[in-house]
Amino acid sequence: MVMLTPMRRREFLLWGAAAALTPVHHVLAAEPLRIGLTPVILDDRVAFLRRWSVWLAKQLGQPVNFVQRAKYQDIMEQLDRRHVDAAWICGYPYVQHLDTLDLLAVPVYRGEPLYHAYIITQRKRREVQKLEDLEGRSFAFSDPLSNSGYLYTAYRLHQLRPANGRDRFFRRTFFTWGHRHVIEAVASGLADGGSVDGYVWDQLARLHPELTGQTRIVERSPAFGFPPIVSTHGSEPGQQRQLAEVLSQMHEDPEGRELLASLGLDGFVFRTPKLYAGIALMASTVGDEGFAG
Amino acid sequence: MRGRFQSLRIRMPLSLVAVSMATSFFVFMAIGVQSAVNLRADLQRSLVSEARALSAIVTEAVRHDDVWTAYTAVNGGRYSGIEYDERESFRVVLDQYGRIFASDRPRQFPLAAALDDTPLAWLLADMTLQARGGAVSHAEWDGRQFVLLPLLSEDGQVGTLLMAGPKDAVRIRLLALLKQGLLVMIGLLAVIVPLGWAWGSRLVAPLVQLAQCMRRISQDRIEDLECPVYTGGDEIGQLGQGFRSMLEELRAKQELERQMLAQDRLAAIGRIAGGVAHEINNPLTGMLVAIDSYRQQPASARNHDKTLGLIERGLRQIQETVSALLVECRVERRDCTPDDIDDIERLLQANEAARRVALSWHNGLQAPLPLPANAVRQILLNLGLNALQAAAGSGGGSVRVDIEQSGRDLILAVSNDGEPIPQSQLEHIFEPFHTGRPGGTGLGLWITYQIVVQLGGEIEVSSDDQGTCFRAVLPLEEGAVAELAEGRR
Repeated sequence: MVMLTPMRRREFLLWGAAAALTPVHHVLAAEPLRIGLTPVILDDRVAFLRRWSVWLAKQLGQPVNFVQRAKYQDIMEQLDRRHVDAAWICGYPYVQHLDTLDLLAVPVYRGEPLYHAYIITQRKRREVQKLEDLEGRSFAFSDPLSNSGYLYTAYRLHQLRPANGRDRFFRRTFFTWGHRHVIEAVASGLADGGSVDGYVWDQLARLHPELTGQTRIVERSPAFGFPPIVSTHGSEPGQQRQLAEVLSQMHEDPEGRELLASLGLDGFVFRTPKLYAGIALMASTVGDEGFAG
Repeated sequence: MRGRFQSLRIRMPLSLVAVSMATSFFVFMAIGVQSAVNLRADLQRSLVSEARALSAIVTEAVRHDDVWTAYTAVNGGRYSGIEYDERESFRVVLDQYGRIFASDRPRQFPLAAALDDTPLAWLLADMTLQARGGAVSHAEWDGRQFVLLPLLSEDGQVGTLLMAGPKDAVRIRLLALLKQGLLVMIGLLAVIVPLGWAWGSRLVAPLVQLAQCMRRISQDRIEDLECPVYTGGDEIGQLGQGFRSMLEELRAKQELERQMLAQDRLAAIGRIAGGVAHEINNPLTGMLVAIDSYRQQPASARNHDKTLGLIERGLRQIQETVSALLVECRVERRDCTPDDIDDIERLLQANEAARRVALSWHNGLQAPLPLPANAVRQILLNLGLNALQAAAGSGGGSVRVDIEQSGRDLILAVSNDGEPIPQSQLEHIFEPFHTGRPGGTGLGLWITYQIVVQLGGEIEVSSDDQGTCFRAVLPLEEGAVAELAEGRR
C-alpha cells in the first residue's frame, strides 16, 4: 500500500474539489490503477509523475499509482504476476512477450510512433567516428531488456562479427539501469561509448544540455516502434481499454497537452504489433546471446 | 637615532612589546603545529569513516559486477559528466585482480585498466601488504593522504577501495587556520602593544624624571634646582631618595666652595695688594731717602741732577709697575701673518737661554688671520721665553711650540720638559707678582693672561713629570675681534 505523504494528500483533496461533479467517493474508494514505469522515459522527474497521475486519475475516475523499478525485468515480472495493470515498457521485452501482452497505446514522437537508438561516445573522442572505432574500449548499456540500450548494439555487433569474438569486442561493458545513466557514464568518462534511447537523449539535451554536451552521437539506428504501453493479456479489459482511450485523447485536453509537452511527446495512438517487427527481427537474430561482462 | 634607542623610555616599552609579540608568535606557532597534527588525524579519520561507509555497497557492487552502482557510490552523488576539483582527491575501486573497477575520476582511472608501473601502483602494493588481514592501511605521499580498505566478502577479498584525500589538504587548511589565527593575533597585539607601551612608559617614567634631574645638575645652578623625583619604596624610589640626599650634599658642598672661593679671592687680593705695595714701596723708599739726603746736604753741595735722576728712576719704576698691572691690549688693525710668528721664533732663538735648549717650532699658519698681530706676538714671546728659561733651568731640555688653526680658533701650545710646576703654584700662576723664578717680575703670565682674556680666548696650563704645557685658544670670530677693537677705542 502506498503511503500518502501530506503533499500527496493535499493533491488528492485538491483534485477532489476540482472534480466535484464526478463521483468523488467512488474514486477514492476504488482500487488504484497501477501503471509500471521503466526508464524508457525520464522516470526520475517525481513532480511531473505526480501531476500526471493526478490527471490520469481525474480522467479515469480512479486513483492511479505509478510503480517504478530500476530494471525492466522487475516490471516484466510485475506484469507477469499482474501486480501492475499496465506498464510502459521497451519494444524488446514486448516482442519477447507478444503472446501474453496486449498493446494499449504507442507514444507519438515528432509526428510518428517511432524513435531511434543512439550509439554515443565522449564528445572529445574525435578518433571514434563509428561503432567499430569503439573496439577495445569500455561501453555502457542501459538494460539487457532494452532495445535501444542493448539489443540494437548487440545486433550491430552481430553484423560486424557474424562468426565470433563479439564477447571481446569491448574491453569492458556494464549496465547502468537507465538511459540517463548511460549518458552520465559516457559524459564522465567512465565508459568510452554507450547505447542509449534517442528519445531520452533528445529530452535530456533539452533539459540538461551541459550533460549531453559532453557526449556525441556516433551512430543513429533506423526507426523502431516507440516503447509502448502494454497490459497483461486478459486482465480487466474494460479498465485497460479506458486507459488506452484516455491516453489517446490526452492531446485534446489542455492539461494533457501540457503533460505531453513535458514528456516531449505529441500524443498516444493505437497501433498493431507489426510496428515492432524490426525489433522482433533483431531479437531473433541476436537470440539469447549475451556478451556483457 | 642610536641615542634615542639607548633611552630606557624607548627601550623598556619596546622590550615589553617585543616580549608580548614573541609570546604571541610562539603560542601561534605551537597552535599551528598542534593544528597540523590534529588536521592530519582528522583528515585520516574522515577518510577511513568514508571508506567504511562506502565499503558495504561497493563490495556488493563488485560482487555483482555492477560498475554503475560502484561508480555512483564512489562518485558520491556528484553530478555526472561535470569535472570537479577537490584538490585531486579520488576514490578508486579495484577488483580482485587489481584492475580498476570504478572510480570517481574515470578519465584518470579508466575502467579495467591496471595501475601498473605508476608511483600509485607501488604505493598500492605497499599499502596492500600493510592491509593484510583486512585491516585499513594508511599512507601519505605526494602531499595527500591515502586510505586503503580491502573489500571483504564472507570468506575472501573481492576487491579494494583506495581513497586519496585532497592534495595539500592539511597545508591548505592549516594556512587558512593560521591566516585566521594571524588576524586574531594582530587584533590582540593591537590591544596588547599599546598597553605594553603604556605600562613600560609608566614603569620607566620615574627613571626618566630622575635622569632629567641629573642632567639639569650640570646645566642649572644647584640652588635653583627644583626637581620632584619619585621616592617610593621600590628600587627606583630608593634611587630617587639617594638622588635627593646627594643633591642636598652637593648644595652644602657648593656653599662651602663658595665660601672658600670668597676667601681665596680675598687672599689673592691681599697678595696682589702686598705685591703692589712692595713694588711701589721700594722705589718710594729710595726716593724718600734721596730727598732726605738732598735736604741734609748743604745747598752748595746739593746735586740736583743726581737727586732728580734718582727720583725720576724711582717714579719710572712705579710707572712701569702700574702700567704692567694695567695691561692693555692695544688693538691695531693689523692681522697676524705667518711672518709675525716666524719673527718670534727668530727673537727666541736669539735669546741666551736658547743656546742650551732644543727649540722645535711648528708654524701651522698659511695665511693672515683676523687677530691683532701684536697681541699674538706678545703672548707667544712671553710663553716662549718662560718655556726656554724653564727648560734651560733644568740643564738643557727641549721646547716645543705649535701654532695652528683649528676651525674658528687659533691654538698656541708651548711646552717644555723642564721641572714641573708644583700644584700649589699652578693655582696662582696667572696672578700678578707671582713668580717661580728668582729675578722674575711675576708679571709676564699676568700680562699674557690679560691679553688672552681680552681677545675672548682661554689659556690653561698643565704640568707633570713629562713637562709643562701652556695652551692658549684664541677665537677667530671677526665680530668679536672687531667689537673688541671698537670698545677699546
